[in-house]
Amino acid sequence: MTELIVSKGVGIDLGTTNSAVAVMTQTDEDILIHTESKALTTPSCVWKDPKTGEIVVGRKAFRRVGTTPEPIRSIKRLMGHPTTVRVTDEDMTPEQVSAAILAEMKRQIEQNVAEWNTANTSWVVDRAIVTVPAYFDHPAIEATRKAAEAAGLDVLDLLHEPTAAACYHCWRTKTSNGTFLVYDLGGGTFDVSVVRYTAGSYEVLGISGNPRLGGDDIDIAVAQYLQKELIEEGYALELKPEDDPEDRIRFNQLRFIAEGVKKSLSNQTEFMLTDSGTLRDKNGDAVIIERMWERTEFEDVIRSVVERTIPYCDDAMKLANDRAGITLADVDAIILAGGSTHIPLVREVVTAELCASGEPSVERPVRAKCAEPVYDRVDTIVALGAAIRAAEAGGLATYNSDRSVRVSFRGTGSANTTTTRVGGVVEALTDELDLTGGEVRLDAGGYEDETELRPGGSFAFNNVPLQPGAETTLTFQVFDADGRLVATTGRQVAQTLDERPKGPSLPNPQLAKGLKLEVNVDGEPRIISLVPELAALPFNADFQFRHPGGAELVLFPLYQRRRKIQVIEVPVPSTTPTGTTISFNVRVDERTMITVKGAIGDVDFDALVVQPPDRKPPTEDEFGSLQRRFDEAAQYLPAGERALAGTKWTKAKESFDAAGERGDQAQLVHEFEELEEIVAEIAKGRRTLDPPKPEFDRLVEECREFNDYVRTLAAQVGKPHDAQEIAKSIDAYAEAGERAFRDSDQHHYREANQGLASLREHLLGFVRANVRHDDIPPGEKAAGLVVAVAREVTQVRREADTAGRPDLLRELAALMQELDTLAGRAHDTPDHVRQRAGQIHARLQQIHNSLPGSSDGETSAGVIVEYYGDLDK
Amino acid sequence: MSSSADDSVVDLSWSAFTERPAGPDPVELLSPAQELAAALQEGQKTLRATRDEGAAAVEKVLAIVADQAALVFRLGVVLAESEDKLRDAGLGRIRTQLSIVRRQMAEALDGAGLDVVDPLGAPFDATQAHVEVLDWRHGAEFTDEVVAETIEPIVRHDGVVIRNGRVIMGAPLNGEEQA
Repeated sequence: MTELIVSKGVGIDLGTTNSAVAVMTQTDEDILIHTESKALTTPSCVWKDPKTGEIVVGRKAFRRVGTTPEPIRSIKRLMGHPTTVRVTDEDMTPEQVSAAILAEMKRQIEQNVAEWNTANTSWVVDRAIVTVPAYFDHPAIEATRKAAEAAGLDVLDLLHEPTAAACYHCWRTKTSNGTFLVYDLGGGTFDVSVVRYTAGSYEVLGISGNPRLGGDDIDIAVAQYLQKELIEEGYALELKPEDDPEDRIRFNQLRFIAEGVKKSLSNQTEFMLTDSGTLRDKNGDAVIIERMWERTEFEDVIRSVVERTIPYCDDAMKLANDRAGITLADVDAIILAGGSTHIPLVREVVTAELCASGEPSVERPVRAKCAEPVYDRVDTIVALGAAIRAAEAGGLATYNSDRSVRVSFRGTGSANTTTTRVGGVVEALTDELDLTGGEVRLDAGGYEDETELRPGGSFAFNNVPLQPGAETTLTFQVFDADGRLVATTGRQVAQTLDERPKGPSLPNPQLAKGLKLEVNVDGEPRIISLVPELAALPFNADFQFRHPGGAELVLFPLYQRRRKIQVIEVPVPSTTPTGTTISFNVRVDERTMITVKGAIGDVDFDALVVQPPDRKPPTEDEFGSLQRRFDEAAQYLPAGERALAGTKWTKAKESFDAAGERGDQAQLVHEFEELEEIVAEIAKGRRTLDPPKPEFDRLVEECREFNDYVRTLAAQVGKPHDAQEIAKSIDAYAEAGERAFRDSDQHHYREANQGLASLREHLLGFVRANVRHDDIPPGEKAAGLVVAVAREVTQVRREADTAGRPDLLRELAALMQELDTLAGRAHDTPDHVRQRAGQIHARLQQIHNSLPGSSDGETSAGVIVEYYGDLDK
Repeated sequence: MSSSADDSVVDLSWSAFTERPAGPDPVELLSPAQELAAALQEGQKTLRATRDEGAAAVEKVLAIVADQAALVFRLGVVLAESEDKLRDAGLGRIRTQLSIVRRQMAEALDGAGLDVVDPLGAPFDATQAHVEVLDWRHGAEFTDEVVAETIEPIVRHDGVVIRNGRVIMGAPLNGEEQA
């Protein structure tokens, strides 16, 4: 008969594609991961049997993919969305579907802990740490918590997946301090985080990622490549998987073959892909494949997917730098997680781009300290880390057989000293039992001690001797104040020479992504920051506004990144005069719950926080507008950053287009939000500095143009001019100005600007002093003017190209052609040529001023044109 | 060699001992029971590790043999599909030769306790635990959920499945209506 019920916290990695569950062993010396049919993970897949009404989860549900009714997959993507999915004949919320998956994970690990049962002890699973992506927003986090509770789990905490990975790494390597970059490339998602571990606590310093980028993209890319090759070989494999079920089967077979290629080339550098005809093409012919694949070829196919991850690492590092001054040079280890990191190219790209031993051709100012990333148990590292944290945070809880008394032990069940401290809390779970004044007696195999229960039921024994190198059974008896035995419990403590540090304490909760509020300023919507990224929770933010009048409900949309997550509805009585100041306080608690309280005068109110409907896919106009904003914002960036932003944009745009072609609406919205984020990110650099950046850029270009011109002039008039030295000075000022602009450093920015202005004056002075107007024949004056205007055309053409104006490009090409003709007539009809060149110059100025990003005023080439125009004066 | 009684007499004067420095930590004396318990626990740990190693080695070999069994099955399928073509091309004897080799391979595996199961036509519920479903084919030819096509067979060792099959399942057209 069971006399004791023991509960141990478990760690659950609730993944988009697969989930995993783990628990530390009884004495917390090792970690046990649940395996089923040799698999370490379980598909995050749910199906309802239409005949029996039974909810089926995991591998069994996954086998239903392709049938009707379809099982539900990747529900994690919808967590926190106010939507339902059709599960056979029932509408279920994402939370309910996730609860079914978590219940299955609970059931699985219960099988493992049941093996620890003895004649009088029964092990149960009722507490867990569940991991969530670092990029989960508030509604998604809360939905995950509720899902776990619905699955019958007491949530010890929700842990960021990268933090869990770092936790496992520190535990395994006995590391007590460090800064880590966790690179998690799973089946469908990519997350990267910068995590610092000091003094027993973790702190997330920077996060980034893409919830729709992962191994699935790699499999599809390889399958499509293979398909194209087989078509070239003559097989009828022009497939339409969306329209034709047989084509869908064929493409799935190709995808399976592609997965085989991926797995094989992860372990070997070449692989003979063979298939004796299990796949049949549209004509019914067996598709026979016998072809050598080299890893390099495979890598060429998937490189763009892998390389797309690196800018996200830079984004996370930027955040870490803003927050804690951390650069890549401070990163001790790059920890890999997720099944897709088995691919050698992923590790190579990470090494080349980020690690100390990286590729020298990859320009990077600083690199991480490690020579290569940590590649260890990447499939389950998150669940393993969560299990470690669960053991530390949850300790061990024991119940007597009738569950009237609970004894919760703190900490883990292993020690590296020969004596230890054992403490916990005793609680009476029924009203009839009073433990006030009670005591606890300890028997540690010959060693005995007793202690009184403190108020609240806590107790502790110090210097309890342990058997060296072995497990010691500690037995505790709980007595009430009358000396009646009310419960007997125990725990094993292993003494080990292994000086593995204890699991870290839980970190302070943080808000993964900042909260922004949309407000209306003079009729214009503006987004203002309300709670900063990674703010420690709880966090309170105060806000006040003047009642705009004409409404009884004032709405404030709340955003996380580009996603509208909630709407604050402030009730305003109709009698409130326009202009009345209304203040409210937004509180985000430790569990990321948002509450809003405020006051209108002396009257307090609670604002409603409601979820907005899901966003619709963007229209062509919306996309066009975003594209223009990107082009406009990008031109203000320094060359390096512009190239980086361009790469990010191109890759996200590719995925956006692909989602559009597939008709994947959710992916389409996601990629559009990614594109919006890129624009928002680069627009941040456009701070208001004086003079505006385009003006600064124009000054740099003017200086270069003048220096070029003066070099020629100096040679003509035989005067000394060190053009090379001047060019160096221009470059130095330009670089200093760019740096200052990036850093929003007004002082150094103005200094650079003044330096350039002085140089321009110096150069103009040289021209004025050395050109004798009367000595220039009219023909040469005209020819000089034509050359200068032609240079101006080249400059304006660049601007029109950047702005995406093919109409202007056509006009500019025609003007250039005309200038060619005018150049040939400069000596014959100088007056006519000068007149027409002057008109073209005027038109160029018009175009220049009309283009976005160009400030009013002349082009830099135009200054020289004007100078030629002055020659007659 | 013998020794006299006088040899055993030792002068037990303290001066016979020299002083030596004590160890850095006091030596912890364990009771025999404690030492035995520690030794037993250590022994159990070693035994577990050895057992795990042995099991892993067997598993590795079985996986390789199971792959071979699946390929022998595939050879049988290809030979059956090519029977007419080989006969028409005057290669009937070659086909027979290859069939004999295939049968011998299958017999050798069978002798080692391996057998191959083609789940074609088997009901989903009965077979689903031992197959990976690549996709589903819906058609009027199916009156129930059954295996429509075997891509790879199920392989068993001494009656225990050691390699799951890979199949395309078939289901009636009105599957959605039934739901």
